[in-house]
Amino acid sequence: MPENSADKVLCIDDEDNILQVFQRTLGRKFNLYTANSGEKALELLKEHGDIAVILCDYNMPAMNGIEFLQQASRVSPDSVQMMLTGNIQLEVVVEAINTTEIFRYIPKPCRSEVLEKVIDDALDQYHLVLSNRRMTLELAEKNAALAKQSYQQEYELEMAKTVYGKIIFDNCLETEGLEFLMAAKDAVGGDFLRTYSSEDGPFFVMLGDLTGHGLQSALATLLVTEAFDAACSENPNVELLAQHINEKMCNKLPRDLFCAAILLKLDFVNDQMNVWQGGLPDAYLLDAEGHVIEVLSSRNLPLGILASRCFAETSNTYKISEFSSVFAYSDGVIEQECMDQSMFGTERLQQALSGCPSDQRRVDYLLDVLRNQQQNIPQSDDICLAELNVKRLMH
Amino acid sequence: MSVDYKVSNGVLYVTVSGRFDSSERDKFREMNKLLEKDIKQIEFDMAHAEFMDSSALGMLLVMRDKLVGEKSAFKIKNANNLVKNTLVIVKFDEIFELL
Repeated sequence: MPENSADKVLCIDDEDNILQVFQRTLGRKFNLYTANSGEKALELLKEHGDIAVILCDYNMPAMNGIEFLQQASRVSPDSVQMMLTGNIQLEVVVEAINTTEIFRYIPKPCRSEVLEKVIDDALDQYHLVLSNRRMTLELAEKNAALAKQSYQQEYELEMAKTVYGKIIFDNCLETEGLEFLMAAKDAVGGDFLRTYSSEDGPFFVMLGDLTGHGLQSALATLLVTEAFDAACSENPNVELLAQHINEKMCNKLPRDLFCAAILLKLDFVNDQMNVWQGGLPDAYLLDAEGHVIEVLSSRNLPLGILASRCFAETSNTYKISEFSSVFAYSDGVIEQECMDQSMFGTERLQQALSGCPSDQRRVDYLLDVLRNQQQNIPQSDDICLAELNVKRLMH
Repeated sequence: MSVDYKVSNGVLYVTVSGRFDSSERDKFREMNKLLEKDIKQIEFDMAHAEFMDSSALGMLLVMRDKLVGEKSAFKIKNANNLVKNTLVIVKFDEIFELL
């Protein structure tokens, strides 16, 4: 049985009694239409537009079977064509095969079971042609959508690179005493470093680690750094600064985006450094040899999680004269997988800090040590290292 | 990583194994759909989670957001030291019940 018994079959013969026989036999099984001339059959084809199978006689007055099938191809190109003929002449067969889209050539008379079988085959062919066309169309549509999407993605990534590249550390390069290294895992990472200073005013630094990559983190970095700049111009304490950035983030960014960060405010006039730490691994106050004097642990949720957060009493204050530098980093450093299958960890980090030769920058030495332990294991997250030498910054 | 979940008596039970990151985002989407219905509690079993990255923290926040109720409605249990450390550094013990 054909898939769809509503499939239309059109029989053409100039002898009405033969059409009646078709109607009695094939008509029981198929949705049958008949025409006693090629002209009438062409009209039926135009009228319906979805005739699945055409079965026509060769010998007909006015228009023979071959002429009819040639015209039928133009009117109804998907219909599967078959021809019946009583007197088989080789040249007719050859012409039919070469000049029409004929699927089967059937000698007359033909038993109705055989005819039914042949029509079933033709219907299968018809459905194959239709589904093939449908799939080709779907494929073309999908390919077009994919091409568009991939163009869009490339464009977005380019934009993210530009935005991110401009803000991650652009105002840190000229800061005397601030040494840093950033190695994003992908083209656009989530780590950034930002400073703010004004004439004779305090000096602000923020090291942040945003969740997300690509356009998402580029946009978020833009928002956070702008909020940082705007708030610093009001000379707040770090708790207010954190609160301001937190509110901006909670209002404007999606739920799963947050920023682990350390915020420093250095007031050289009063010999005070005010520190807010939320969600970053332990930062350190170091002496001149790189030994840890004080651990600056996270005391807070990262920024951008709880809008209604109270930030009072969430910071610490230190005397600037009592340490040599502040060292902070993102978790990608200590969580980097090493050759011995362990994570780099804080122990190796602290060893590298105090083991740094005096003619090298500590951030460079530390990254060398890390890469040496990591060897050819891929980087697992963004890496950011920063050391703020307070004595050099002061001058 | 792998994530399995089931719902029983209004509690969503989630089991995470391996590296807990965002590679099973689709599963989390499914769970977030479930949370729009009648789920009152979430319980994460981290016994087989080896590590947790920040994208995983983000996914927990999204789920928490969909859950109405007190901190105790979202439990995270059996975390190993590394996972626990990650949760404590970001002070998630303030907004999730760590057991």
